Amino acid sequence: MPSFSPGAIAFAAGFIALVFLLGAVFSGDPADSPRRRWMLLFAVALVPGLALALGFGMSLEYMKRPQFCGSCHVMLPFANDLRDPESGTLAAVHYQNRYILEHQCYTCHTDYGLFGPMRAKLAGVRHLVNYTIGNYTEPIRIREPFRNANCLHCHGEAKVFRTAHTDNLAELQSGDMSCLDCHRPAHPEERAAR
Amino acid sequence: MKGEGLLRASALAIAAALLLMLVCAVWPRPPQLGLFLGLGLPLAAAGIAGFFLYVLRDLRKRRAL
Repeated sequence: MPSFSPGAIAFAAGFIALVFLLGAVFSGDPADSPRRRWMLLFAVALVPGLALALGFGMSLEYMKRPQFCGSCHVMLPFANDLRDPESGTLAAVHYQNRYILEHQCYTCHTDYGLFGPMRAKLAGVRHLVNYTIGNYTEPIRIREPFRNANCLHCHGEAKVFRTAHTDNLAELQSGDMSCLDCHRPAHPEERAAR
Repeated sequence: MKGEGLLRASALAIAAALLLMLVCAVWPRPPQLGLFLGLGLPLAAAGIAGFFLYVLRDLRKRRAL
């Protein structure tokens, strides 16, 4: 079965919905006919609603890709650092060693738990809107301190991690000590204020 | 039919949202996605709300007949 990109699926759905919508609303059918009422329900509410939901899903899917993060100029230094063979930042080490296979930015910057992905997606939408209307100052700053839980989600149960962190495991788990206190910088520091 | 203006305005708002979505699908870049999510989706929500208002008005009018 051929695989289609999210963009292609959203484009096809959006195009069909748009043609259907304009056709139904501006058709010459008598306004009171039952056929037109059913058409309107589908063409104005149901089909566009479904298409827009697909478009929303497509947007969220694109927003998870590191290429997308790097396409904002404020993020370019961070995206370039990921691929810089000379870089020793945490992000570059994780990216270049393929510790995270895909959605690398999203994976580390998403809180885990029931509402973590939803919060991350809402934050992404807020970033996009602020970027589009120019509501930001440089250098950009992380909104709140990076949570150890995001590191521990992958590393927390690893034998090598637990062996190396026996002395401070409790502090790391409680958040009294940050992973970044020892393992820094996460990103090029001249661009990112912690 | 009286009240068609609301229907057309709703349809145009939803059509604008769909157009922004098509642009996003072709050029999925931050400004386009920002416009779609920040302007297109609220427009669509307003359009769908307008459509339901149109339906309610229509139902009320039929009941009055």
